[in-house]
Amino acid sequence: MFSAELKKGSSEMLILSLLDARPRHGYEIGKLIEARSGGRLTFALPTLYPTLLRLENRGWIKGRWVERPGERRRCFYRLTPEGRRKLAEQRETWKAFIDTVKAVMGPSRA
Amino acid sequence: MRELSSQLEDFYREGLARGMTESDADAYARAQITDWTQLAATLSDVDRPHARGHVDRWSETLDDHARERRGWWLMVADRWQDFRYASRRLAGQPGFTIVMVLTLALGIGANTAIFSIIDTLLLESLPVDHPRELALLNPTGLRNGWTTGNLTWSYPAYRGLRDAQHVAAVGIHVRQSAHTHHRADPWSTWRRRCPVQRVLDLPRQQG
Repeated sequence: MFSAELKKGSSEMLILSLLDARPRHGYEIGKLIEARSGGRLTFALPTLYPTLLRLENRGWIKGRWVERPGERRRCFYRLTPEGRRKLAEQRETWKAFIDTVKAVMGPSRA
Repeated sequence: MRELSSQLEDFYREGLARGMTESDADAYARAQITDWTQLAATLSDVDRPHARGHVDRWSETLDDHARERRGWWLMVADRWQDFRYASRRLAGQPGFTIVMVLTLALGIGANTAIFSIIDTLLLESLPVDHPRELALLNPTGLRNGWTTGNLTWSYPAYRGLRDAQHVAAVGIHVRQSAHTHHRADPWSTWRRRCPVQRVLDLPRQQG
């Protein structure tokens, strides 16, 4: 439904926002994006995994292998303090962008 | 790669949970990545700034050990991961790292210098009541069994000085290599009975 450019521009912010609540592993992040968007947003593994790696390399998230009772070992990602700061910045930027687009595309004035 | 294989396994288990056969679930998982060459190129671009090779292999080995043995090994593996993360972050910001190292060096150096001065002037002052009234005596006589120069006094010379009327108290420092020809070895006896501090504090009439 949405173009690749739109998805690419929002993928990092979406992942950071999902990690804001609690640490999650990569598979859960992809499924959660799909579920919350009603199927309109999907991130395939070749897109999601490099994005997670990129975010980790920047220091915005940190992965840690965890083995929980009854589950196999998985890599859970969590936000770092800098990641939280970047998420707040991106939320502000995205909100300002949407408001600006709305203002431009608003009802035409005579 | 472990993370990638873990996610592929998640898709395989999802297929099984949906009722697929093992082969269908396997195909479903494999279908998540259609172009491995492109994925490898993308990962290479993402991971380019970081060191690869033996460091990563050693880290994976450590993680495997920690997973098998747990306990203390898990703590070591976690601390090593934290160290690598911190190192990557510092390497990614060389300006900040240099400023931080210089600041630490200056702070440690300044503290060391100040403490050395304080230690010399205040903490190591002589343990006597009136240190300003102390005088250092340097004998300059010939070698005649009494003196040998170089701030060295013979025991008879010390005794004569100690008994002098105009001297309040006398203290001496005995070297470890001090020798005596006296049969009773008064040097050793004197050292045990009269440490320098006590000698300096004793009234003269007590000798």
